[in-house]
Amino acid sequence: MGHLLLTGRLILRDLRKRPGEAVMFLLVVTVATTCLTLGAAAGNAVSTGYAKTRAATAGPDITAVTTATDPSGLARRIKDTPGVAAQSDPFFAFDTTVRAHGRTAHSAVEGRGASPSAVDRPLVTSGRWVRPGGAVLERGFAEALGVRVGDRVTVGERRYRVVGTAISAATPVYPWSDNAQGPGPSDFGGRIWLTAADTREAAGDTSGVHLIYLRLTDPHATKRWQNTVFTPDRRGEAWVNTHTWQGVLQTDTAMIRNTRPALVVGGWLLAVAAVVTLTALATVRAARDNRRAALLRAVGAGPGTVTAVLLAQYLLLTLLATALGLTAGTLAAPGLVDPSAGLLDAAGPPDSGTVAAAVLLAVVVAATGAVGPAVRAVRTSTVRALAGPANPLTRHRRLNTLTAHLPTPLLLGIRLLARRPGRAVLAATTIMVTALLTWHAELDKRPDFSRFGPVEVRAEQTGQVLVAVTLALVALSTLNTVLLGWSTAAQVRHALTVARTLGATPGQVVSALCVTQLLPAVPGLLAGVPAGLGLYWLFGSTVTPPGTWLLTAVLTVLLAVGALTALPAWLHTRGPAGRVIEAEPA
Amino acid sequence: MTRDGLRAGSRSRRGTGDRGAGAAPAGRRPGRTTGPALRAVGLSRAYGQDESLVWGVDGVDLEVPAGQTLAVTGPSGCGKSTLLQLLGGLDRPTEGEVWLDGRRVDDLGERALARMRRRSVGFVFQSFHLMDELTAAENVELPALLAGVSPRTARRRAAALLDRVGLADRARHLPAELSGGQRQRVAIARALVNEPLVVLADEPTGNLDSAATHDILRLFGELRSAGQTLVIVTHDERVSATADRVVSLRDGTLAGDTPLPADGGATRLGAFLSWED
Repeated sequence: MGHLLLTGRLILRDLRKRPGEAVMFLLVVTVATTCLTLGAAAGNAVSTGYAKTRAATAGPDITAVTTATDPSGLARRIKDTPGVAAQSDPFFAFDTTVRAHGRTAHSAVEGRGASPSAVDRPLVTSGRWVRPGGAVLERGFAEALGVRVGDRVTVGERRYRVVGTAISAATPVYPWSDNAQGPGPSDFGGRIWLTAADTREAAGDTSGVHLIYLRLTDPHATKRWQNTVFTPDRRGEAWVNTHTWQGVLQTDTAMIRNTRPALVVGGWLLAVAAVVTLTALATVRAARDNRRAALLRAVGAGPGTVTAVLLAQYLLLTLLATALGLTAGTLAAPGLVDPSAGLLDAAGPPDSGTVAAAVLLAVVVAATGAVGPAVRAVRTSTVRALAGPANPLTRHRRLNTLTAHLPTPLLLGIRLLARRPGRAVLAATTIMVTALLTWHAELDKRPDFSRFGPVEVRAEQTGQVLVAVTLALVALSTLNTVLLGWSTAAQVRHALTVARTLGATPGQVVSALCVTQLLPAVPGLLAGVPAGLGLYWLFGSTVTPPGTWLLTAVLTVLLAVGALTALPAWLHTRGPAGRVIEAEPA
Repeated sequence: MTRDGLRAGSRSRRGTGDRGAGAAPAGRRPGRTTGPALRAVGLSRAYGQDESLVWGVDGVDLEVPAGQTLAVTGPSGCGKSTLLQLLGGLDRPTEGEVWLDGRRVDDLGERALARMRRRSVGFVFQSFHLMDELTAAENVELPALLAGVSPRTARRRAAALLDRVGLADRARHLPAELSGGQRQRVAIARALVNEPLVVLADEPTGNLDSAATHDILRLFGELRSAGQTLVIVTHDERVSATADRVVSLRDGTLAGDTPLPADGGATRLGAFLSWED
């Protein structure tokens, strides 16, 4: 009880005293777990969303599409076939071009009656169902066209008022919902419902197809049923194509084929950046944690208690961040997996696999960033921790001899770097993560789909995800660079002030600190750029960004690192040297 | 490097007495107050290696009877603080033994050492070493909570001790809101909260002005009167003059061991306090 009270008390006081550090910890772990959760939850969310939509709209197990001008014979034959639980009347549909708000797009136009069909009853999400002169648009298609209830759309040469929007599970979501293309759908397109009479009128001389929606007694036996039933004698003279509900789900899932890996890989990249942030934070906290560990040991705390006290805060924040990440990722997943809004909202609790992945990531991040420094603090001698600095400095005799002939900034910078090799690794990792962003080049290489109308939902979505992941990575990398620069400047403040008293100018001191960040940045870039290209090749076609692009990116990163380090360094060298010397013992 | 290796690099040194692992020193009697509260046998602590090997403490034999106030004096760098850290289990000796209340403690594991420190030893440091984020009362409660005392009892003990050191009205203040003398009084209260067998104080007045030193010495005087075993490292002669016995260190070895007259400590403390007043 006493230990719990003590641990809780120390956590609360620390959080209250340094909320910024806690917020930073929370932010980086939450961002990484959110990204990974989104990636992991996306697949399930598609299935869930499709299942909900199928249930709500009496979605078909199979859709038969025939070019027969009179489909009644086929409909009768199907009706007499064993295994059919229900079937709709044949609905006439044709493929055409629609226009609205100056935009044109391919679309299936399907004739329906006012009464609900036995199979495939589109769920009206706004407005009302079809009526003479009134069209209902598939919701995703309507959003892509920018059309709302009350607007007008032109189908062929006739204009119709949009009286509603609806969703259906009979076809994949927009832009794969044009099922009136005959042997298709093979091209992008949307779906519009009119009354049967309006559809015939709008089609004019255009040949169309008939759609028959079927429910089977065994929905999982679609393939077998398809193969045994649609034999040539049953098809008759007319051509018949079929679509199964499994195929529809597969197409919907394929919509996020490129987005999911971007999110999963992005999640792990963000995790690496988060590890760097946490390690940098732990470095900043090292002196405080070492002292705290030593104080606790001096008054009788054992190694277990000290470790628990030091790690409890990280553990608490990790749990909180995991919960936040899981929640945010789960809530955002439906929007991501259904970019055209063609399915019912699939928000639901994350499955055990997603939870496990998020927890694993958060624990790996927190453990990598926090356990090492905590264990070091526990193992540091009590006497030394009470009396001295967190990191005893080591002397490199040969390096000192070698650097003696270098210009002052390089001399100071290299010696500082040699004393803190771990920090150099952190800086290099930060830059490497930044350099990995080269895979983002895929955005500029996506194909042009404009001839099909506003159908770039999938490419846009992947692009938006990549932009979001990239922005998060840039933000974390920037934060890391500033954090590392700031903590280095704070740690070596005394040493550099002594250098100033010996004649080093503030400019040389700032340059020295920049050297400590820029030198590790070079190998970071050398490793990160090829690794980033490798990632890019994994997810995109093998297009290599031009050399000038890469060179510009490398120089930009180096300049940014220099600038981000120079600022904290300058802030630390502003004050008079004498005041710093007096304030801080060696 | 082995102990033999270390010894090969060291200068000639005195014998270190009985080294039988786990063997009780001659004359040891069981029970908390029947033998010496604290005993060091051939205690040594080396730093560095080979040519740079330095003996911070070098073959110290010492017995502190229960209830005695012992002052350890000597010039800076002579090994006073190192000796105190070895006696309190904050550091491990290179050679020699430390016995606390008849039990050998230098060979204990970290957990056992931690238990020993929380139950039998109270530390007072020159730099106070209070937890900045905890209030005075919470700092005092800390060792009690670590020892498994219930929060209610720990709070009661802390309140009583803060009252005893004259800081009852500062219980909810953070260390940053207290003067140096007040912080040291909080540290003393913290050292006493588990009623330790021995209190080890390292330059307890080193960072204090005369008025604060006056308060601390008065407190130590009260502890001495109450029979508390005290080991005080100091280079302040005014402090050492108030002890029952003074040992002096030079280059890590015992250079002198002077018992002061019985009750002389109290008299001298009184004289010091009245002079300071």
